Amino acid sequence: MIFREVEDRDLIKRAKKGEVDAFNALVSRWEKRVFNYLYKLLNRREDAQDVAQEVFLKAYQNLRKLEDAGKFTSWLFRIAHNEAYSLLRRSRPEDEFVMDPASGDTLRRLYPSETALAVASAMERLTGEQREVVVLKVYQGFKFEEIAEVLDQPVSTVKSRLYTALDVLKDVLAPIERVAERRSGDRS
Amino acid sequence: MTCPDVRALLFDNLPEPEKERLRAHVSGCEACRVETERLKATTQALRSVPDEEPPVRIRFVSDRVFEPSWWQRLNPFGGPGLLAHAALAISTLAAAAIIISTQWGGFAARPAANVRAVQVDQAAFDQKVQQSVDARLNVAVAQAVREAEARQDVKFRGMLAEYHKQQQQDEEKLVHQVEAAWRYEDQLKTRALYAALEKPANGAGQ
Repeated sequence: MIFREVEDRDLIKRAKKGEVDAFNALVSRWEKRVFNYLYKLLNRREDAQDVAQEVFLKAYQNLRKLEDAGKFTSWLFRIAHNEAYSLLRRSRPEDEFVMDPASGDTLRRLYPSETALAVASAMERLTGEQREVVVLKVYQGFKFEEIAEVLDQPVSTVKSRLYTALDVLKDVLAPIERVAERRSGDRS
Repeated sequence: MTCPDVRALLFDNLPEPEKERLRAHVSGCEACRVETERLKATTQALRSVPDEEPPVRIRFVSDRVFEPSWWQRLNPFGGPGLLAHAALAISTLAAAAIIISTQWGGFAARPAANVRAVQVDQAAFDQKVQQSVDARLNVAVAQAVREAEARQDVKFRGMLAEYHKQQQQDEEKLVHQVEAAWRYEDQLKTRALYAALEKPANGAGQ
């Protein structure tokens, strides 16, 4: 990861000097992660693709404003977060967005395994804010401080959202009985 | 005894001594051990859903789709365009002229004329833009027509050559057929002649 970070720093430095190829390399490196973050938030592939395109365009236009190259990731996801919420506000004006049943169906079609069905079902129970924190922490592997930067929220709020979400998810994905069964299986 | 927050063991970036302290607690506390295992099972289940490849590669800024149009190239400042800047400047000057005239009274008696001047400038700008667009369109259309005509010309020449070749082959074939007919006719005449010659000889012998 250290090597990767150094490479990113180098690419950012070169891209800031106007080397388009260096920025292209950053796009290739980050497009999958940004797309999947947006896909899990927006639940529509086309929307995720379009917004991801916007994200990288805005990143290119504003790269000179990024003072600390070490914060590129959280800066990039901050743009993605803003773009995603901008789209959600345009399409769903209410403050809190929820996953509609059709989106759950989409997930089930994409991942037709039993666990994936359970994951899709469990994620539907979360609020948009909780789901985003889960995506950033569990799927994207961000630190709490980075998530706080992406969401522009205090670390305590981020932790609270994650732990509340996990309390919901635990009941669906890892009920006490199942854990107890596994433990007894491990012992025998 | 109050249990520590064992969730930090899984999700926080704790220093190693702190992690060790929490691990020691979990190993001796049944409730915390169950809680930790449930959290691990939950995150494992979540991560079992794989990431997807984007359906289409994100376009690079260097891709042709992002190249500036001829219209944008007119403007070196990245704003709304040189002609738009010119229009803005003209409008501003015209507005300034109106203000000066109304303030100083020099042209106060003819404000309508000044308003018309602004309108005329706007119209001139629109006309200039239209002319520019038309000129570029004409060039593009003329180019397209030239290319189409060139393609048609090549195609026509090919067809003509093919036609001449076919015609020549047909003529040669006809000549062969005529020659063959002549040869056949000659053969018939020769046979008839022989037949005529043989008949009196047979009759004379009877």
